Amino acid sequence: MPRRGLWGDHGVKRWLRLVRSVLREINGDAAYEAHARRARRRSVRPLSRGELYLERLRRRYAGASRCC
Amino acid sequence: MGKFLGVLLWVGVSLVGAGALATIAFERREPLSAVWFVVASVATYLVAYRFYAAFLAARVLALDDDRPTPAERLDDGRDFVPTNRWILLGHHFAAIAGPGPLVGPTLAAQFGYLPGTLWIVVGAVLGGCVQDFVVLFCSLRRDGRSLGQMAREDLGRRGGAVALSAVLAIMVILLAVVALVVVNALKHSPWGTFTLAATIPIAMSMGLYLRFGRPGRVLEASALGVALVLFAVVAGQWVAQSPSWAAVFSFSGPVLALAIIAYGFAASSLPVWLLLAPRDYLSAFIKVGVICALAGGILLARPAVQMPPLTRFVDGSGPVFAGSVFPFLFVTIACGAISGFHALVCSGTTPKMLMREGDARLVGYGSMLMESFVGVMALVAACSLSPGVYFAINGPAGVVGDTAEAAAATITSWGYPVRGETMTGLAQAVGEQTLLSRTGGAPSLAVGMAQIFSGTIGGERLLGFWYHFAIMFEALFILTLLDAGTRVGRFMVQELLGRVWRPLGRTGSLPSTLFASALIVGAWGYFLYQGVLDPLGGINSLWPLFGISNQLLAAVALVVATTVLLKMGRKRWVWVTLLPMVWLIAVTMTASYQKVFHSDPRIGFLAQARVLGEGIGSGTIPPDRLPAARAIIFNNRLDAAITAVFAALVLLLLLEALLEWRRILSGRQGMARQESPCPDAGCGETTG
Repeated sequence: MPRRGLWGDHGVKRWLRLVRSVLREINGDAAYEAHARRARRRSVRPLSRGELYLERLRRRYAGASRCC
Repeated sequence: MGKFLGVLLWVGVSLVGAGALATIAFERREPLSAVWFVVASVATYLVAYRFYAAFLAARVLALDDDRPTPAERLDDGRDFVPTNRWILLGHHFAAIAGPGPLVGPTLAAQFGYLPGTLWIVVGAVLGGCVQDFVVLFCSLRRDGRSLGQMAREDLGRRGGAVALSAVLAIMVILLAVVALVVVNALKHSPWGTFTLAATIPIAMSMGLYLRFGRPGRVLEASALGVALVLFAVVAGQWVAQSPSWAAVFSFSGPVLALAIIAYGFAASSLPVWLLLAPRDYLSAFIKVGVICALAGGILLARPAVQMPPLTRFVDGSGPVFAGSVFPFLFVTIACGAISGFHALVCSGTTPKMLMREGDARLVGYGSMLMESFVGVMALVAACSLSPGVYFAINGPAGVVGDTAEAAAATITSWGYPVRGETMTGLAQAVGEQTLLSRTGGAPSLAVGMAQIFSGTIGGERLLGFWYHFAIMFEALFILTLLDAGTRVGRFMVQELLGRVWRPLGRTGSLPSTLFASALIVGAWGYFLYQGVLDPLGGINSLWPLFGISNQLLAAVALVVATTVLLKMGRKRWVWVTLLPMVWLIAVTMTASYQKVFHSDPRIGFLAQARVLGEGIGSGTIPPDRLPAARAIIFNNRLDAAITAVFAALVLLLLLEALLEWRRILSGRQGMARQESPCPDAGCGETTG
């Protein structure tokens, strides 16, 4: 039975969870879960979290990634 | 009934926007509240997004949500990743919004609030957003190709070469001018210098944490980094109050310039995970937070805009930079209205992440509207200062005088009263030795932001904290741009050198990396150092040069976009890119001509070189100033040559495009579109 009220699963807690998941999506924290899911679907070995992080950085900063 | 309510709602939004714009343009009785600017711009953006962007999406580009995007077709979890459109909007906005929409509008406030506001809003809606949206679309239909690749494919090899040369040149000037903004904000400022210096070890600690501690946990590292940066702003005050530590962190302009040049070289050569990436995360979080806080602060504090709608400097005699409203307003405010550099970001990572074609409207058009709003807020913050204070901060010592009393007398004689004690008191209130002649826009914007923030939280007591917080915020993402730009410039130099001798093109080779880094840093470092020594503040010559090159790049992007529309058979709608392109070419060619040949030495590079040459010949320049005068003469000639080369390159590209358009319109050339083929039978219909 989900908790009700201001702090319950339908209150502040839900919004905090939503904000956290949006922030994780925006800054790339959630990328690893997506990568691992994709690798599982394709039956290939996923990169480690550290390898994926470096790979993403290498690609991001190879071109014009920041404007004036 | 629903439709009727919808019509009613949009009529209401349009009327509110028109009323607010009319108030900004015609109200003269008392200082305007900043809220009018927020209402006018937001209402215009809403109407533009609802109607003009929808028209572009449906009629001009015929976006097709059934057509698989590159992210869907080529999904590899690395380059091509289907991404939620709101997340992508955040990514794209963080990528396009840099210091430009803050600094440009602040400098352009010397003309008064009206020209800048109108250009930022109208320029973005009809120019900048259209450019970003159409280039994003073109790249989307070409599997995420870059602007240079599209120019080469749609306009030939010369077109590609022009685009690449323009990008490299703009990068050099851009990096020099933003570094100059930082130097002018931090010289003889121990508080600001300490705070910014502290961000380097903070970013490196974050880098080590993300690499070896908890790999890829960006949210944790960023939260820690933001807390440390805020602490550094507080600690900066302790440093400034301690005579011994204040001396350690107090530097002259030339010393700071050399330190930034050394920093740029290190940032370009170090691994990206150690400094650049963590600084970028830090900067992105603070950037979004401050922009939201500024919008909230303007609505809560409702500052009055003290600058008049038009100042006497619309005639071109302005102290911040010389030149009349046309064409110099339109090159001074590039980012915020229309920026060619955006075309590089729109044709890079973003198109590879769009989940549906329809999302291009929100991401391309929508994020540029957001940047335009940042520009409006920066203009409001600068115009909320009293005009006398604004000109005292932004006027170079060579124009206004080098003491508070001299500056106050000069500026008061222009009709903008200010007292020497006001400037001394303001400097003390924000914890600085002086605020006089801090050209570059950052300090005056920081004073405006600090007044808005302290009007909401903390009052006068926190003015110093908010000022240095704003300086840190501006300098932080200027350094991020410096890091990222120098690295991209290094890759471009390595690509060029690799054509001469293959080993020099290896990006993984240390000697090649160091050599290319030295070349690119040396190029922008040269312009930075000369800007620091310039008696007119450097900004007077470098910012227009940057604006001209940025707008010329926008013209290149719009030429490519127009060619693509013609090849798609959209002759009827080609005006959507053609009109902003014609406007930009008129603006940039006039500005280029005036910067090279104008007879006023404050505007024309060659005129200034000639006047100094005559001074040397007649012996009116003291012997100890002769080396500096000769250096300025050389730099003026160099700036003139660079401006002329930029303009010639774009005219060449335009000629190439005109010939191509004639071939297309006369039907002598088939529509050789470079689009990736549509895999489904039904979706090819919409490609025209």
